[in-house]
Amino acid sequence: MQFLFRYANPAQFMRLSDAALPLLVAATLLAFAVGLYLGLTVPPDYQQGDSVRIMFLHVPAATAATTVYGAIAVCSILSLVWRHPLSDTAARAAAPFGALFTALGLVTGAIWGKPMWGTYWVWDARLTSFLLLLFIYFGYMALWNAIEDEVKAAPAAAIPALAGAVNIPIIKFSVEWWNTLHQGESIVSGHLAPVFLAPLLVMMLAYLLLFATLWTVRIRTAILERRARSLMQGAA
Amino acid sequence: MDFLATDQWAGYVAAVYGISAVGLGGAVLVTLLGWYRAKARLAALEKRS
Repeated sequence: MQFLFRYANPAQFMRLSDAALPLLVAATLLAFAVGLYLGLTVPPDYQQGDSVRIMFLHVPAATAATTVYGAIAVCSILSLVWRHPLSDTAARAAAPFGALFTALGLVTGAIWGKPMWGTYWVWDARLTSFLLLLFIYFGYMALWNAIEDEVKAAPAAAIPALAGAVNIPIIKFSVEWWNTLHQGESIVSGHLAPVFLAPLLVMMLAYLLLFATLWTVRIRTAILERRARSLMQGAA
Repeated sequence: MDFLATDQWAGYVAAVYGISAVGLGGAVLVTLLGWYRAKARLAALEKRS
């Protein structure tokens, strides 16, 4: 825990992230280039045809959406239990990206659903719990914006954020717990052909790297904004 | 190369790639604009004080 406090205070974060950002940007661009090339050159699936290419954007968006929420939950614990100085800023900064990935997962899934299921939307457990995730993100961001004082807003947002984390295992296991139109897990179980697995894994990595890059920039932005606010208060 | 060769689902595939590009590109743009705006504002305040 000492490690987190030593290396994640705002000043140290600015210094370390300044060095890490060029590497993150390069890794993100490389992962997207490789992933898109592999994804757009796969042979058609014997059942889904070329619509299988949608998987390389839909699954990474959905994975990133739940991963970002996991990050918010961890930051919320750090904030509530250890009063970590940067965790509130990090949690708040992650939320818009989580909402974006969730929206992209829903929209791309709906578009994929039409040719494969014959419908854009069904109220099955996976789709409904994923839609709920989007509303949880909206609620979390609204809470932060509703309370002007950041010191008061942080715990007010962290507690419901942790409660909302219950939805993550529900999303994950919804296809096992209930009878859903959405297909079951196919990566760990080995049901996905290697020719599709490789681009999928690279694209998942690309989305997570993109999130890491944008998250870092947004935390840095929030730190600068905080410095500007304190300068203005000092001048007043 | 089968890069742009798609079957009867071409419209769906193109829509997904287009929407994702707009969404992710927009996120990059908004994030960078926020960073440069905050940097400029802080620099102006530091210069003034």
